[in-house]
Amino acid sequence: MKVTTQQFREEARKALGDEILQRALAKAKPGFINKRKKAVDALPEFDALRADARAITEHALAHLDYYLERFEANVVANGGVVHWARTADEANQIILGICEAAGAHSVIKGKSMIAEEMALNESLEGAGLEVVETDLGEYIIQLAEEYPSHIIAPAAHKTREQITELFYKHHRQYGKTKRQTEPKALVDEARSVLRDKFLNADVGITGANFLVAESGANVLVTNEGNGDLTSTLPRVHIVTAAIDKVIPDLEDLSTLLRVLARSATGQEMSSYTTLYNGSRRPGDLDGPEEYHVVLLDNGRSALLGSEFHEMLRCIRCGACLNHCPVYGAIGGHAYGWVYPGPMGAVLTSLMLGTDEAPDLANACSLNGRCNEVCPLRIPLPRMLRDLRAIQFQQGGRGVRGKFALQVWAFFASRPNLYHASTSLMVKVWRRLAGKRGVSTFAPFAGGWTAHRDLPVPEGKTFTQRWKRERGRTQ
Amino acid sequence: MSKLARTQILENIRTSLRRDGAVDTATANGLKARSQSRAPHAQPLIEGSLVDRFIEKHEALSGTVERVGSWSEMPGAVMRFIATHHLPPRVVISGGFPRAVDWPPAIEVEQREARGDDSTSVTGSLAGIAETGTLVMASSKSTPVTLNYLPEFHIVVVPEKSIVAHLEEGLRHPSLKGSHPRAISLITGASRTGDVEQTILLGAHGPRHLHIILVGD
Amino acid sequence: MTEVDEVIDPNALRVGLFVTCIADLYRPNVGFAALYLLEEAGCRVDVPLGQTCCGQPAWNSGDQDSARVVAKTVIKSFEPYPYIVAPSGSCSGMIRIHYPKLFATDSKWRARAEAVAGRCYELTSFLTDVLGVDTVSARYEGSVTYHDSCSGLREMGVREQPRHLLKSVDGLELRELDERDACCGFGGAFSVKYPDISGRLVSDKCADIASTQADTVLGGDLGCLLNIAGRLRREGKHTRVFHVAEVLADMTDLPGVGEDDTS
Repeated sequence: MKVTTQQFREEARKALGDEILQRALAKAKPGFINKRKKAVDALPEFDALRADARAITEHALAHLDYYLERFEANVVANGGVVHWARTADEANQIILGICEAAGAHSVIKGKSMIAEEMALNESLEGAGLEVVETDLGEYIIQLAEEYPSHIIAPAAHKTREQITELFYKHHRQYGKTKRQTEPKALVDEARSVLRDKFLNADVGITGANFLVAESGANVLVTNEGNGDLTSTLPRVHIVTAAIDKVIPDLEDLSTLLRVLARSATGQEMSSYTTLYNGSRRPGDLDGPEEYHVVLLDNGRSALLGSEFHEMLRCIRCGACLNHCPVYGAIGGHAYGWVYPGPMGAVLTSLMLGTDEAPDLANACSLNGRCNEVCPLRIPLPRMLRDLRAIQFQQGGRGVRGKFALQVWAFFASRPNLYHASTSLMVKVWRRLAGKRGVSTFAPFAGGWTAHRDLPVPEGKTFTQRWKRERGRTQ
Repeated sequence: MSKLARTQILENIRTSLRRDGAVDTATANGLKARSQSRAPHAQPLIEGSLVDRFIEKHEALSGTVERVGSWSEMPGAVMRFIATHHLPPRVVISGGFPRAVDWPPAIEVEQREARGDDSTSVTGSLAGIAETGTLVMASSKSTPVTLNYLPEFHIVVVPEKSIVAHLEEGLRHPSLKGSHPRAISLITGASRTGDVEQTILLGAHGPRHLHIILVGD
Repeated sequence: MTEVDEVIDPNALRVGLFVTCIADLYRPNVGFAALYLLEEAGCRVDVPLGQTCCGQPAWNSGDQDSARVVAKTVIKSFEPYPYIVAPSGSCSGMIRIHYPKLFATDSKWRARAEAVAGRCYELTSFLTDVLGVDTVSARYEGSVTYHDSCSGLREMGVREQPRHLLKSVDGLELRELDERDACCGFGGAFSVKYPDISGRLVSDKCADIASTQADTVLGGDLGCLLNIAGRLRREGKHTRVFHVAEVLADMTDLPGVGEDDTS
């Protein structure tokens, strides 16, 4: 799939005018916000949990090498194999190698953001494997050949009618010839189609919400149960996880689970939270024969200890997206890659670079809701500002803006000059506008008047009037 | 290649953290001690009857419960559930129930892993967690996990005295100590999805209905 | 956050008024209203004329050097004052929250920045939380809704304080917005650089305002109010827009923000 971060403005404009998308967004937003609020209000200990969650993840990152090694040792002790990949390409090669060695033809997948980051599906399909997403939302966007638009609800941008058409088109090959319109019927049909895939796949690939160093377990948090079937039915189970997923122990896990579910969907616990650990044990009647964990770096080790270090503490709950007014207006696809919303603006800018994604850090009003709701208290607005500072220093686009700021700074640090110039400016402006309260043109700020009028100043500055009326010359 | 990648990644991590190498002995000892401490972080306050809270949480998620006095009454409860939901009188069960139970001849019982077309499973559990209405299960020779995820209807037998207060106690169940099951399952309510216009629907892939038989003795 | 344990004798207070560049340029009436309210509460108010702007535009655009240059001007002008008060959540937030960050690695200026930052307050919360003002004597006939600025809310903890004071305004009926926490889409340069998205946010805000059927909208930040007033005018609406200080100071006998001068 194409990365469209360079076309942010155009994509955002299209999204704003897309009635179907707007309807879907309008439906999704209040649900997420209200459910989270209800869950948080019902838990007096929520802020204490958030503080603990922050401390846990900080501690884990500060000793990331130690915990990764412990995790690895425990996976191996339980009959699993751990692979390390520096880049997405390396990870894809490793996974292809595993599939090839296993003689695999079909792969089923649980939802995994890291697999999207790797563009794993393209890599597998390119090698001739059949890949089927089993998370219902991921399945829908797979059929539509789109990126997820939300990290928890990948198909949040799709209306029921769109899902009906997708299923009608793609399920005929399975003998489903009726156009299903009711949500229950759609879900039942997906259940039926995907069940076959579950039962016949050679390889199951899942992501991991957490990796527990203490035991070597990977933790899968889902509501559908698809991740569990993916982890159990095929002969080979591969877990893809970023290196920053590792946490020390089960007490830490409990805290993180408590804030994750509430922040993501307003639940206290997801329906299925499972700790998987290795291949089937002797005597087990089900479970994979091979178990692999692929740990991916992809630039994360470089972020450690940097001013963007805290981005690695993100547990992918989606609360920031749900509360971001920009995301709420344009949806996820305008962000152009895998990660949308505030966390996406930061992560995409870091991983692809601000040259490749110049708008993401700037298309933000710095309102701060994201940081307010983040269960890990990640300072997203601060990081977006830091990204802007990096962009400013590097020049590139917006050189004119850079010059304008320097001119402004020149004036603003010379009060007498500033006050003389501004009084002249507002006098002229007011004169030109007559008695009108607004003008429909804005000399250096054309964007303003695209959608609103520009109020006209009173005509004298405060400083002018203060000097005159109070006779102060201070 | 993976070995080289491993070395490089660990080196990069250490460089970024401004450390010359792996953590020193003192730090490692501290980390070990931290892991060995079982002290929980902040937990939600839980007051009152754990069993009542467990039932309340489970029912709030569309789960159903029947309370029986003893294990011998369990098969009868299963029969009632089957009758209520007009299900075929066929169940697939896990082994290792704490007591032997006599199944009536009217019901066909098989002890094995689940298959794609199984309608109803009956399993035990290690514990119930009152905090969230969650069941704790572990995989083993006699408790295959497919019983929890494949069938449409999942019946779980939970001894009342196995209900604990918090998540931590469930994850650290005594019977998990020393054993390393492939899967530790925390199950809360039935399978659900909100992926079609935010409408919550049950039975996405896992069971559509989770029924608990709470045993008194 | 402006938290104090006890009410201070207002007779002791010398305040440096930070007018804000927007009020200076656009609407001096806001500056005079702030001045009036502080003097009525017993403060001795100075307006150091070395002030120009808090530096937000540069800071938020990533030009940290320019922000520092301007901030130094502000620090120098205001450090003589025990209290620095601004009729703006974003400007007071810039000084209070961000000045220490601006100079975090500057050994010479850090302490000075932190000192000034620690003494900076937003106007309405200064009146209620520090001076213990409960009521004002003002009159404003009409129904009013209130827009909370994001920085006021999240950086300066301003939420109930202006409402507390508005309760004592004769004739005023307060009607809350449905989405009190929603950003109006101003965000400084954001409104100019991403006009389509900003336009959507401000039109949503105006729809919320319209649904209250209030005849006036108030707020504590002129940037937001210019944005909202501009949109209201574009939509042909006649909702009046004032800064909350103007209503509290009973200084609304002039055209509202964006209104034609019909005198």
